[in-house]
Amino acid sequence: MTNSFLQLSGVTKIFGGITAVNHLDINLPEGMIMGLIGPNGAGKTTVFNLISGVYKVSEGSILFNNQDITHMKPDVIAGKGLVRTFQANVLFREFTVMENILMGCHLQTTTGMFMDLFDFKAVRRSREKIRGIAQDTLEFIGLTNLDDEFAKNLAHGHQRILGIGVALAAKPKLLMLDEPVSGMNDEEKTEMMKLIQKIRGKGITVLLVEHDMRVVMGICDRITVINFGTKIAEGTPDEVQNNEKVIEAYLGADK
Amino acid sequence: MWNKVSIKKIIVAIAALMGTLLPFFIEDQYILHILISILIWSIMALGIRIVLISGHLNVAQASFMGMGAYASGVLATKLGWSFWFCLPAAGLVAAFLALIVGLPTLRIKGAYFVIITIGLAEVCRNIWMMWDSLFGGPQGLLGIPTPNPIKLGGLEIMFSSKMDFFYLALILFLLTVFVMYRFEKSRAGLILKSIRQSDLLAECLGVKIMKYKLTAFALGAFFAGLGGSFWAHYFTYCSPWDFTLHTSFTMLIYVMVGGMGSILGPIVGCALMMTLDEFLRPFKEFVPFIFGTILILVLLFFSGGFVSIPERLRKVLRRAA
Repeated sequence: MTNSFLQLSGVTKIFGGITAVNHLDINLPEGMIMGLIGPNGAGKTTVFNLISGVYKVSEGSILFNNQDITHMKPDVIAGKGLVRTFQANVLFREFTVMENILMGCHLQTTTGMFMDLFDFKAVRRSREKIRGIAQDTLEFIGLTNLDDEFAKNLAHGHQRILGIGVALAAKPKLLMLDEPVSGMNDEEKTEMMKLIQKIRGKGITVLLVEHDMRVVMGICDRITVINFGTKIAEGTPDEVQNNEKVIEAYLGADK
Repeated sequence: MWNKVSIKKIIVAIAALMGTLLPFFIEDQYILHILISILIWSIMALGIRIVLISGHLNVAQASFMGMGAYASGVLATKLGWSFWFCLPAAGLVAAFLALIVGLPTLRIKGAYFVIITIGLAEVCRNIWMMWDSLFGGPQGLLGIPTPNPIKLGGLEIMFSSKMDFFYLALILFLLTVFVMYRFEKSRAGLILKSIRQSDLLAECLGVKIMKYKLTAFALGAFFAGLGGSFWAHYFTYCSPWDFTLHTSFTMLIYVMVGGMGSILGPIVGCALMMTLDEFLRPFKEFVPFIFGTILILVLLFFSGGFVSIPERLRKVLRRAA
């Protein structure tokens, strides 16, 4: 196994008296698609919020690309190349598709806030560069012909794809997808699976939380199963599928 | 797209030209005074709007203007500073106050932020009322000198007539509009609007949202401070009753009636409502009722404000055609 790209060691999150995540260890090698699964309320989204800095970690440490990011703020973590999407259709709904992608490009801008007030050559060059990145991203996710449409008017599936596009525009090294295929029909799911594989093809490591087993088993190289905030199994899709603890967590034990 | 921009530019140019030449045609000092008021209050309304587009409603904007007015007044009367130093100093004082207040409070969203700014407005008013020796207490700070005369080429501007004040107000107004316009057209405008929609997503895309919110807040306060300084030296006094919560709420009504979608909105709102206010002078006691009714009607029937009417009409016509 290659060096781990994202490494959670002993990560714990306590809300009041409830331990949502309990001494969780995850090793994610570079270039992989890893799935994080578990029954409802297992703490998957909490893990996402901990990694991306939205929640504060109670205990333990998170290393990304050999750097300690445990107590960093979301915008700093994004700056390191670790970008996430959200479970619901969290987008800038009043913006057009293009404007959404441009927001995603924020980290690629080379001029600061005060420079931007003026029409310097550097500002124009930065703006052109951003436009280019945005157009490439739109093409990559296949929404070029919808660039003028408001995000709120898009179909559900397109909104989910746009959410990923916005994250991609930030040029992540590791992309975290929170339930990318929720609410989609089979056809859209297949499209999304292709897109995720295409993203990996660009050399981006992917960590995804997903309920849909067909998708998870279909595209993940490795799967981590958690229940009640604790890891109960880890391995290839085949290994996980035949793991007794996993079956027990999902279907309940005999007797 | 291109057509729209050039038409807008032409309208703005004509309006600016008319504004500049207006005082030559207006002998009436009273009308000139109203024009000056509209320009200065528009500056303040624009400050409310630039913060409002990030989803933060600041009802202490009048207090920032008051801070500028009092700072300028104190510097001029107690320390004998020239108006031309008091003016930028007033802006900086207001902006500095905004930074101090904004740093902890702009993290708070929605109604809670509004309540904090209400508190700020009351704190400011009470300081001006209670600190007699510095701010003159309830009757206000008196004897603020008019701006010192300046020489421009061969022309000496004495600030003895309303016309001189009109041009100074116009310059401050245009400066505000220019800076706010550039700020909003740059990436900062997009970011402020994105914060209103989802600050969490913006933050997770690497945007330092506090930096942008603070800048907008301080920018609005800076220009309000400039306006306040002008106001103090124009009336030669400032009173705590000029910069109350009521003033800010009135301003907010102007912004909503004009429309907060564009920079033109608050300006149109101020011009319309303040003109109306003058016409309603004989029925002073009904003014709150009438303004309230207008606000409700605007929000019910064209929530984009008056500036959204042409766009709405165009849509209706297109549907009819």
